[in-house]
Amino acid sequence: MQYTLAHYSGLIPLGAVMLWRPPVPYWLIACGFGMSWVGDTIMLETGGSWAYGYVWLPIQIGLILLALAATWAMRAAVTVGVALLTVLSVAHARPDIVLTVVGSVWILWQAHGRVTPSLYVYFGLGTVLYLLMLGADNILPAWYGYQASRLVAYGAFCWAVSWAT
Amino acid sequence: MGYVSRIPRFLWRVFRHEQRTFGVEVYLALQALVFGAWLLAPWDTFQQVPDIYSTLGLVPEWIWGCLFFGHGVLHLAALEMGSMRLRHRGTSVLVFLWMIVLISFLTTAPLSSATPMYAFPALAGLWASIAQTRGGRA
Repeated sequence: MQYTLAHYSGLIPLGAVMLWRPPVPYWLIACGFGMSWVGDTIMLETGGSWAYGYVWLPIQIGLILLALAATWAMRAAVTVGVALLTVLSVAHARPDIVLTVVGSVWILWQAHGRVTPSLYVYFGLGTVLYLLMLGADNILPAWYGYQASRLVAYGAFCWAVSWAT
Repeated sequence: MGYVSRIPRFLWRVFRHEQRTFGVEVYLALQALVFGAWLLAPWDTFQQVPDIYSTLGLVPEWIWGCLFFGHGVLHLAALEMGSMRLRHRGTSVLVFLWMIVLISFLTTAPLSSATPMYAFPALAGLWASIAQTRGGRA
C-alpha cells in the first residue's frame, strides 16, 4: 500500500496546477516532479534496472531548471548543460547518482521565489535521504524519510501554486 | 563557575539573535574550496579508506572536487560582490553538500571523529542561512 502511495504521490503537483492554473513555470516544475512517477512506472515494468528509467532524470532536472531560467540565454545554457551532463554521466558506474547529485546542486543554486522551499526539500533534504538510503544497511527508515520529504515538498509546491494564481 | 553557567545563555543569544554571518561564510567558503581542491588533487582520497567513503564513492571523486571547489569560488565571489541573495543560496547549498559528506560517515563509521567534524560546517551553514533570513547583512 505504501509503495503504491509513494509511486502515485509524484502526480500531486500536476493535480495542483490543473486545479489552480498558475503561470507556465509552475507547470514545468509540476511536470518535472511528475517525471518521478514516469521513472517509477518504467522501473516497475522493466524489473528495477536504472538503465531503462534513466531518461526521466535528465528530463526532470531539465524541466525544473528551465522553469527557473529567466532569459532565453539561460534556457539555452540549461538545455546544453543538462544534455552534456547526461552524456558525460553515462560513462560512470551509477550515472543516475551522478546526475541526481550534480542536478540537485544546480537546482538548489538556481531556486528562487515561492517554489524555493519545495525545491530545497525535494532536491536538498530528499537527495540527502536518498543517498542515506543507498548507504544504509536497513533502507526502510531512510526510505520512509525520503518519501515523507517528497510529500512535504509537494505540499510546499501546492502552497506556492495557490499563491501564484 | 559563574562564567561557565552563563555560556548556554550566551550561545542561545548568538544562535537566536546574531546576524553577522560574514566571517562564518568566509570560513565555510574557504573550507569548501580547500576540500574541493584536495579532492581534485592527483592522489585518490576516497581510496585511502574506501569503506568509509562508500556512499560518496558512488559519484567520482573529481565531480565532488568540482562541486566543492566551484561552490567555494561562487560563494567567495558572492561575498566580494556583497550580493545577499547569492550569499543566502551559497550557505543553503553548503548545508546540502556537507550533509552528503556527513552521511557517508554516519552510515559507515558513525562514532568516528569525522561525525562532529563534518556535522559542524553543515550546522554552521544552516545557522548562517537562518540568520540571513532574519536580515543578516554584516
